[in-house]
Amino acid sequence: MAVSITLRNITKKFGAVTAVNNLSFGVEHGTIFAIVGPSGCGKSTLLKIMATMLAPSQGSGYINGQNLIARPWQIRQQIGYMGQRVILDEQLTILENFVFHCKLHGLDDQEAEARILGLAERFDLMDILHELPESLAYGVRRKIQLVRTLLTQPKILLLDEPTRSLDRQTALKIWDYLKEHRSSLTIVMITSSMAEVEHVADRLIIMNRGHILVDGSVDEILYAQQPNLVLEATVRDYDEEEYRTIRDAEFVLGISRNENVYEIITKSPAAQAQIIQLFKPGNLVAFIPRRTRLADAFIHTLTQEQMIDE
Amino acid sequence: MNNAYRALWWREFVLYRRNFIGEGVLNLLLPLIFFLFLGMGFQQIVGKIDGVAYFEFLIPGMVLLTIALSAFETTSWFYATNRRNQQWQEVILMGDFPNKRSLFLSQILIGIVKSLFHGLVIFLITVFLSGASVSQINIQAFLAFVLFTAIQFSALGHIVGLYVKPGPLLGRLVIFLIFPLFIVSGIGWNISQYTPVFEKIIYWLPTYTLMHGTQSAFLKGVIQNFALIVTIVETGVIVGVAQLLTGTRDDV
Repeated sequence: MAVSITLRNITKKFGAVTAVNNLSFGVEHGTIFAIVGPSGCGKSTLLKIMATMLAPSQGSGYINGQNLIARPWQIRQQIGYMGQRVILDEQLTILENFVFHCKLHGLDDQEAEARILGLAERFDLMDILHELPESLAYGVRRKIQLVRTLLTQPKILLLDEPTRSLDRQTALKIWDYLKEHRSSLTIVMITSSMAEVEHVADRLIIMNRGHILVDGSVDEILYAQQPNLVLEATVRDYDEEEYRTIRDAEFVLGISRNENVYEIITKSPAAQAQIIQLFKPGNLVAFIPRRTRLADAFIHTLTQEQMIDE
Repeated sequence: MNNAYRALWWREFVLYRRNFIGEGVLNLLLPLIFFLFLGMGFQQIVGKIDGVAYFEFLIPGMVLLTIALSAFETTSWFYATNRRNQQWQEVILMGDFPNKRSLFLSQILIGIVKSLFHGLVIFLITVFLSGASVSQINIQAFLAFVLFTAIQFSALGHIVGLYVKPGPLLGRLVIFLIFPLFIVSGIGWNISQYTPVFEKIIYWLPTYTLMHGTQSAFLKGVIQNFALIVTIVETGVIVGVAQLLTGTRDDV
């Protein structure tokens, strides 16, 4: 399969801070590629480098055969980039925003009109085409921004949290649309929704502190976790000492906490009994084993790295 | 002209048509009111100044003032609004622009063309109202000075727009800085009427060079070579600074 994106030893420094550290990977044409990682790990910086909005400090890359550093203009004509923030021209109506975007990318008026109406119809924007952005809710503005990115039918889509703040129905509509067009499209997306990655991504990388921790397909990453078991433990009161004891236990691969619920990844079902012993007497309310999900693999990976550092 | 430039022009026309009363008419009305009140007020008292009727004397200053205000407003609001809109420039630059500097050039060009259009309208109205003769004008010199005024204030608007948020401060800069600079530079009187010290101070103002050059070209048909050279140098410096501040791709 043809390669759409190749990055080699990409590093991006902002003063003394290294946001992206010697990173290399390739993305094949037609792939939905996800980048996941904790906040501040360099995901958005990486995406901006691919969008030619940031020049790398070191390294090289090709986007659809065009050199990332030498030919940014040519690359921009082939990609669609949607950043994390909603950026619309507040002085123009939604329709004018769309027309302006089409003109910026050189679409003729007839083609632009057909695409705008087609997408507006599909994503239920017909009624608000003549409104100004400021009068619309954040989720709608975000949808408009995504639709605007699709107008130019780019060969490569670079999306930073594309479905954040969108209702589930809209998010599904968008993924249905993208999947329909995937034969002509390569998608690189940043997302914090592991469920979304499991649902749509062909391949993902997990990043932390500017480098790649894991690179593989969703199946490969889940397969690597197969012998593991996830235990959901509900405690009466959160106890930091108890939490640390569990986290540091030899048979615990990873742990995360959401208020009084711990998600503990263990090496095998046999470790269950040992984990129960680690809770303070009377503090454990419920203890349920379940199958491994991608979110568990994410937590496992980050915990492993944290433990290596410590 | 490539796609992105065309898109920016289209955007400018859409907004201009929509805000015609607020932007177009007001931009023309303010200098026109100033022209009529100043002219009617002093015509009887002053009669002639530098050998020409007072109304006629006011014309080059009014044209320059219109151009300066219009050019400054167009570019300063473009960049200041962009900052308020959280790097809206990111989106524009993803369009058919070779680099960030081409966006700078196209927006400066929009400021120049729009302000020259406003200047032309004011020129025609004031010439018509005053019945001034245009046969004596040194057209090349006159056009050179109005063009450099448009370039200077378009670039100045760019610099200010990079640092000032849209809103009252931009308005205050126009009212308390640009407007007074033109007034003291001799829009309605000859600066020889000032005290010698004040006259020397005014002599060094960039707006005086523009005013002096334009008035000489319009009223006497004379090209002020020294003023033209100074104006060219000043324009080069302002455009250079604006272009340098435009920065690199890294701070898009």
